[in-house]
Amino acid sequence: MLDLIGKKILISGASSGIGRECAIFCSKIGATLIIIGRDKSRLQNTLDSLSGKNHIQLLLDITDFESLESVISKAIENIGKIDGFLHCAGIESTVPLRSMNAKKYRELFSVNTISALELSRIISKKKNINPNGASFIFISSVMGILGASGKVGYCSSKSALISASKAMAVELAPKKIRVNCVLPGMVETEMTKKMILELPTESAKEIKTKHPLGYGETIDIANLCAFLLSDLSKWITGTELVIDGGYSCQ
Amino acid sequence: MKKSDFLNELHEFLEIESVESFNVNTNLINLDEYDSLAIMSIVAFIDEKFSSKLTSNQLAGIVTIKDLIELVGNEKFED
Ligand SMILES: NC(=O)c1ccc[n+]([C@@H]2O[C@H](COP(=O)([O-])OP(=O)(O)OC[C@H]3O[C@@H](n4cnc5c(N)ncnc54)[C@H](OP(=O)(O)O)[C@@H]3O)[C@@H](O)[C@H]2O)c1
Repeated sequence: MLDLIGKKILISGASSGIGRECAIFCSKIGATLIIIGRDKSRLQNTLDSLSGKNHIQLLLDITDFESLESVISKAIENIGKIDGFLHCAGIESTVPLRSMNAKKYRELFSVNTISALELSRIISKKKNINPNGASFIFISSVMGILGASGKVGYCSSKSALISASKAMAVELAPKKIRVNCVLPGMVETEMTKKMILELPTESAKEIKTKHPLGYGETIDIANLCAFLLSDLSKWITGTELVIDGGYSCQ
Repeated sequence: MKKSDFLNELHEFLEIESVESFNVNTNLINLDEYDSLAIMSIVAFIDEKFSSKLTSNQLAGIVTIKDLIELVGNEKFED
């Protein structure tokens, strides 16, 4: 049976979309959470939707690398050693190569990639991690293994997560920490609503028809993440799990 | 922003080579260079210059650069 009873899990990007659904679902099956986001009222909204008690919310910009360690360590001291880390925070960008620049790459990589690596470093410290093992999941994207117009920045930031998770899986195996990536296709969230509005109409239509099972729901991603956070997946590490309604199999 | 500067930057940015003169009355949708990538580029360009996000629906309604200027807001330009 799938459950996360007794597990302490830290979730970034919990104030919206996939991260919020994952938080709600993980709490429902027994986990105690540290949830992170920047938007006060939306994060509070997630906290109010959680089952169980003793969850902690952290209002935090995860690219504020100077203060990340002290804030996270303090929260872990309060809640207890961590069994799972789920990195859902991320930003999307559809900008053609000719309009990209170093500043835009830096912003994308800071939120999508470097924050995941920094949080992993902090959480995997002996004082912060359950010595019996833990599971880390980075929400990458099918765009981490495929290409599309206007996605040079986004694709590269998501692809970097995949290779980082493999290196980390090997390095952290002695600590019994498993590290995997989840690669969703298009799921209806705040992020994708905004993206679709900005895309030329034909491009938006094309994306929809390329998903044989239609767009995904956030609960589809939450189900997979809960499995990867649970002991049912104890022999899965260093891999990427595509969950895209058939988008990439054509 | 000066309209002339806007025109120059947009011209360079979209790499327009298919017409001799590029002015406020230039018909964008007839340009060879006006494809879906150009539309994404215009969204990024306007966001960068004016911190305003256009939607593809709004862009679908424009024909000339004058329309684009009106969409962004005439008051943001000097002659
Ligand atoms: N939706 C899809 O179709 C899809 C497909 C593939 C991959 N993904 C990936 O899945 C993840 C979640 O996507 P979503 O659709 O759920 O997006 P979303 O609704 O826009 O949520 C993004 C989350 O990231 C947080 N965040 C962004 N920048 C942050 C920062 N600097 N510091 C702290 N938190 C920050 C946001 O918090 P605040 O709002 O509080 O700032 C929000 O909770 C992203 O990594 C995305 O790339 C999504």
